[in-house]
Parts: sequence; C-alpha cells; structure tokens
Amino acid sequence: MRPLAGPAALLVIVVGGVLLKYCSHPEPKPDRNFMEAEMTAADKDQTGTCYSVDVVLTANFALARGAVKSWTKLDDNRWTYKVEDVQSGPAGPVHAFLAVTLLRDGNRVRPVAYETSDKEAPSVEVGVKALLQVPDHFHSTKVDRCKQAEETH
Amino acid sequence: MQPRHTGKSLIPRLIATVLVAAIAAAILTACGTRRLDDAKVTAFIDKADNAARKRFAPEICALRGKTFTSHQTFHAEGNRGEPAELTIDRKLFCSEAGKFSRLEQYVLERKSIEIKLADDLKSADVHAVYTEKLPFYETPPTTASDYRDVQVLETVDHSRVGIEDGDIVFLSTDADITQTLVPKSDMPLPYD
Repeated sequence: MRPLAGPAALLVIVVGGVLLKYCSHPEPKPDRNFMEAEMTAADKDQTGTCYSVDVVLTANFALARGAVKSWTKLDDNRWTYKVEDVQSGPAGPVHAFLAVTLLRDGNRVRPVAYETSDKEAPSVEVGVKALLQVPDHFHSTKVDRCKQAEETH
Repeated sequence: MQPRHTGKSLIPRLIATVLVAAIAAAILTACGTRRLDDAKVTAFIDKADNAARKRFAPEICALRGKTFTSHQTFHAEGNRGEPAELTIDRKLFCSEAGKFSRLEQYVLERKSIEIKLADDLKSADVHAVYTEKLPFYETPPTTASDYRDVQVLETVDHSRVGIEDGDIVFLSTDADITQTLVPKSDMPLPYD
C-alpha cells in the first residue's frame, strides 16, 4: 500500500478542495479595483475625495464590534455595503443599520444612495460627507493621485 | 514469504475503497431526520434551551436554518408608547448570540411547551413560554457586576421548526417579550 499512500493523499486533497470550492458560499464582495478606486463625494460635481472605497469603509466601520457587515451585488458596477446591529433603545432592542450604494464610474466610485434606520435619514450628500470626516480625522492613506499632488507642493 | 502487491492489483482495490466510502457517506446522510414526531421536537427544544443556558453562540447559531428569521415584540418596563419591534435574519441573530455569550449571569426556565406537527411531519409549530433573568445594563458595563437591576423577561415564543440537511432546525421565531426590572439586591443571580 505504501507506494499508493502519496497518490491517495493527493486524491483526498484534490477531492476535498473541489468539494470546498463547490459547497462553500463565500460572501460576495466587489473586486479589488472597485475597492481601491477613489470614492467621490456625492455632490453635484462628483468631487474626488482622495480616499479609496476600502479606506473610507475601514476607517468608519473596522472597529464596529458586533456589527454585521455585508455586500450585496446589484449589478457588475453597483454594490450596496450594509452595516447592521441590534442596539438598545428606550423602548427595547432596535435594528440599527446604515447602507450605502456605490456605482463604479470609470476609475472612480460614486455613492448613489444612502439609507439608515433613523426615521429622518440624511441625504446621500450629507451622509457621505459624514463618512468622509473619519478618514480625514485619522489622516488615512490617500490615493496615489492625491499623494503625488501633495508631494509636489 | 508474502507476495508483494503490484500497483495494478491495488488500483481496483483503491477504487472499491473510495466507492465504499462514498456509499457509506450517502447512507449516513440518509440516516438524518426525515420526519418529525413529538419526542424529536421536544428533544430539539431541550437542546436549544440548554444551548441558550450555556450562552454558547456556535451551538445556538447551528440550530437555526439557513433562512431563519427572528421577530420580537418587546414591551419594556415603563414604556408607555408602542413596543419595540425587531426583525433580524440569521446572520444578525448569530452576531447577537455572540454578544449573549459575554453574559456571566443568566437563568432560563421553560414554563410550558405545546407542539403541533404539520400533516406531512416535516415541520412543526412550537408554542412555549419562558422566564429569563439577566442583568440589565443601562450603559456598556466595565465588569459583569455593573448593573443595578435584573431584567425578568416573560417570553411567549412561537417557533416553526423543520428539517434541513437531515437536521432539525428553527425556521423562524416570533416572540412577545414583557420586561420587568427588579433591583439586584432583591434577586441575586447565580454566576455560572
């Protein structure tokens, strides 16, 4: 049997790998280019913010302990990022959430919708402005375009 | 002297071994629950209650089906307005179970249980009444003892259970919860 031990182990690994690939359902997530693209402000001029999608979301939500974060694919270029949690309200536990929908527009990503569980949710422009304050506060890493511009000044 | 096996004679044996293993796996899968009865559902609810008492999130979560939803109506003590309504999916429920595991003091008592099996015996409605006692933290606590009141929750629970991949799971839960606050000096909770 000893000569077959190697091939048998290989067979188990290959079969296991194939089963894992087809039986597991990894959480959907936008591709790397989408995550590393510069996010624009949700203003009329779609001003560049100097921060990538990944940086904005990490700065805001990486430390949100206990919150569930998920991506939903609307189409190839449009994704919704949702952060949700159960929080204690005066009348009992409430479902709190924030969802921002992002659209790939060339080499940038534009916020197109912003929803929260608050009764009076802010507009997408106001909501995204609040999200951008966090990477500003932490002096988070900027995209190459802005790094180069800062170096030349 | 034992004759050495040649590779040629062992390959069919290997194929036979793989086939036997596959058939055994198929039989084991088929051995899972296919029909419910009162005893199976009662045992499942006992298991779920014990998982809750242990506050062990992976076990609590594993007993919920893939499309599980939880809805609760919460009547907080002193709230004169509408009760809080909360609907969450399995993912958020499991995240909450993780927070639950941080509680060091918790008591769960089941007061009653009624089981109604579906005609096809593939699902059942379970109506149960519970009393839960746990600390009421007004603000995030520094230690487990940072609370003034114990909250006593009287829960009327309607759950639907079914079979998923051979296992009994909760498909949905609808709970009506009434909260009463009692000073902790009047109701010490055990540390377990």
